[in-house]
Amino acid sequence: MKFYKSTFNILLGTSLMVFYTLLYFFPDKLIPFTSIFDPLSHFLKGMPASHWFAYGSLYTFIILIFGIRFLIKYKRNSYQIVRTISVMFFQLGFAFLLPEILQKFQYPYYDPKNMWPLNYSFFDSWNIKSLLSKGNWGLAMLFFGVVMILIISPILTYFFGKRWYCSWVCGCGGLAETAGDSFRNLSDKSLKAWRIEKWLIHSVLAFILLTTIAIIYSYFPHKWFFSTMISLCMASFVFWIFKDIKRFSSLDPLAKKIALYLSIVTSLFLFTATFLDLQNLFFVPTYYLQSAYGFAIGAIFSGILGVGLYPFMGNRVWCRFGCPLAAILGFQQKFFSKFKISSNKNLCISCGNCSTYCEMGIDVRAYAEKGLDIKRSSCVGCGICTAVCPRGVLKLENGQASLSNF
Amino acid sequence: MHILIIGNGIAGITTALEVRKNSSHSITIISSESPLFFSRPAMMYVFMEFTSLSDITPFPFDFFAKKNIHLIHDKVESISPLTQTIFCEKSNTLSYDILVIASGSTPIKPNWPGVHLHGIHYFYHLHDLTSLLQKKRHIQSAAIIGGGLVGIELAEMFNHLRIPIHFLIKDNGFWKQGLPNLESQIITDFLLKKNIRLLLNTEVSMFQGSPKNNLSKVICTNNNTIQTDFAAIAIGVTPNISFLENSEIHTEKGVLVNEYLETNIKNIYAVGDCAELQNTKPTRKSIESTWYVARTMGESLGKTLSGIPTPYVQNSWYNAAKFFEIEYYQFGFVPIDGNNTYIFGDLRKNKLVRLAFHPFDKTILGFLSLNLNLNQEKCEFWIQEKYSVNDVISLLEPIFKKEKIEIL
Repeated sequence: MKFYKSTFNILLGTSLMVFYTLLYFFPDKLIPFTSIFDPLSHFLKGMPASHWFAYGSLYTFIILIFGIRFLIKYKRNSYQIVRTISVMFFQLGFAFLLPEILQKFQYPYYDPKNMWPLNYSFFDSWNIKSLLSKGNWGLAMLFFGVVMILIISPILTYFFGKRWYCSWVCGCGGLAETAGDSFRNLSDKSLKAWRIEKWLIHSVLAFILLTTIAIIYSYFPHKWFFSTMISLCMASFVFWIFKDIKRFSSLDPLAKKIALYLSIVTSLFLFTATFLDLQNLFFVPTYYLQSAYGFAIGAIFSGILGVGLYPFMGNRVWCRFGCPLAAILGFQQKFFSKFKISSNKNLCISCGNCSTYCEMGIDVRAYAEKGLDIKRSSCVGCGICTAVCPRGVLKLENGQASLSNF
Repeated sequence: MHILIIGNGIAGITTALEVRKNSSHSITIISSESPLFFSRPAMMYVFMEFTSLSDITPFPFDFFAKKNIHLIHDKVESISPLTQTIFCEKSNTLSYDILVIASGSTPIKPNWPGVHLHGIHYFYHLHDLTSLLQKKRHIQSAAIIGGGLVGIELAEMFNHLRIPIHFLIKDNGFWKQGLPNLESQIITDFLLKKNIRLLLNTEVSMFQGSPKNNLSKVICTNNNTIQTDFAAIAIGVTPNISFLENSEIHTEKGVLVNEYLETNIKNIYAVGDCAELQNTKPTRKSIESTWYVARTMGESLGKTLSGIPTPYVQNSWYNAAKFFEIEYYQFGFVPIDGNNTYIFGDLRKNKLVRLAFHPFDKTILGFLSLNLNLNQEKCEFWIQEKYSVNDVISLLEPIFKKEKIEIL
């Protein structure tokens, strides 16, 4: 049994990686696959299917099919039902139908829930230009995109934790929660994995932050203003994490230092480039940074490895180790959110179901045995730990404790 | 000072970790069952392949190394309090300054004819799990004997593998020793709906085997005959103290201890399932073999041994279990005859809560709930502070409304 399972996993993982490699780098090879979706594409927007359309259709189809399977599996758990229907709805409506219909009516492709920095090309000049060229509608989309990142998402994360995005809305999360459900126990629970996770995900975040600053710098009309604003933002952020010691007590001192140095260096680049009147912030063509990010992170990490490693490292490899949006929301969740998972150590029997089925590799049991609240930046609030706990120890909470544990 | 702990179950491990929290005494834990502590109630999940053996083992070897707790995998043969030594099977003798007996329970083995046939199992020890794991693909049908907490776990395990089962219960419903009639009836009806062949009011009179000594038939007292090659017996547990015979340590059913969990010999303690309290509260038993009691005892003893004398007090009783998908919680005292209780519930959803109160002053005594997870710490607080049952009901009103449950 074990043997067949592992053989199956190796075959599945390899095929997924091959599929994603073809999709990103050799789409021509996928024409037989793409053409299957021609009728659907003709029906929706009156043109033959592109490989991205085919991929999007298949992705949505898989989320819906496995979503139904998940709903049957957790039919007695109302939170799982609501969350899964939500994920299916957002994938079908927002990620798939809406952008296709917009395109049919000559509007630019726009998926309002796909936020920067997960959508790393949001601030690219071509995207901004195409949005601005569509008059008020495009302007509204651009405005909504920015408001989403700066206002709506922090507010929602304050009340619900990052789960409102990662396990109720996000497409990557949607695939992980539905199609990836049977792999969640494969996530590595070791402290070493946690350490790698912290460094990797924040490196990706730094990468996309710097790239985006460079991109906006390259087309922003008032460079002095832009450089000053960005430097001020970075300075106040760094000042805050150093000053509010109580709130940020669990923040790694080394991480604080790195934030400080990165901010200083970036400011230096910003003012030097502005002073010398350069188009490229980091002296290399910004286009290089963009394509490096798109290649290494967008294609290889989030696609080929992110999904290809499901059968080896669990269903949240990208969300846990790479996604820069998850890193931002995680930071907010840890330091500015009412969301937590509370535990009652009295009832815990140390069975380990919670840790085993945590897709983010959190050793939930270690917290539950001590009766500690689980407030980890990586927690996507999927609630499976609560669902598999045989003694009702764990409870997802938005702030105030209530009398019942549901 | 050298503390030697016999048994690495939840009682022994909790004692050791509590001692380590407060002191730097040298600690040795000896166990014959398993090299590492594991969660016994989680064995069923390993059988059902929800988790693996390593998943139910919370602390790896290096955890104990880091805590400077020495582990020995060996069987204790006998104890000599006079020389402060114990004798083990493989290794030699070990000496101690303080001895903690945390040897737990062992399943009750009945003396029915044929009970030694191949195919008759228990589900308590780690080797029971490993042997079941090895043969589970070959089991065609199973008889489960004993309508208690382990019996229903076994029923769930085999039902999960779609192995047809006969579930033999000696009373007229499930877990009559632990549940009032209504709750027992709910679980019994639930089992019937699951297509489990329940044989109520049924006890085993004998087992019959094939010429090769393999089980072939279970014969019941009411002359029912069940054709099966596999039976699991779960009719309760008893303290595992046979190695203490001839050791001057006073025992009855278990090792007799005072409120400091001390035996008749000054530097020997007993904790967990194997300890028998000499003084108990009126509604409590002298031997209470649950995970939660063992852990609470371990915490008290750990403090005492690290120099903070802490008596083990039988505080408010609580227990929790899961019968298939029905969650069961009991906090405090709930009389089994159901007298002086209010019941709120929705029986179509197998959801209810029973509030027990004192007949005279109406103070709340306990909560028993099915499929309704009340906040245990709050319930304990209300019991401790002697809230009146009516106050508790009004406090719980919002939950009753939300869950749409009404007084029955």
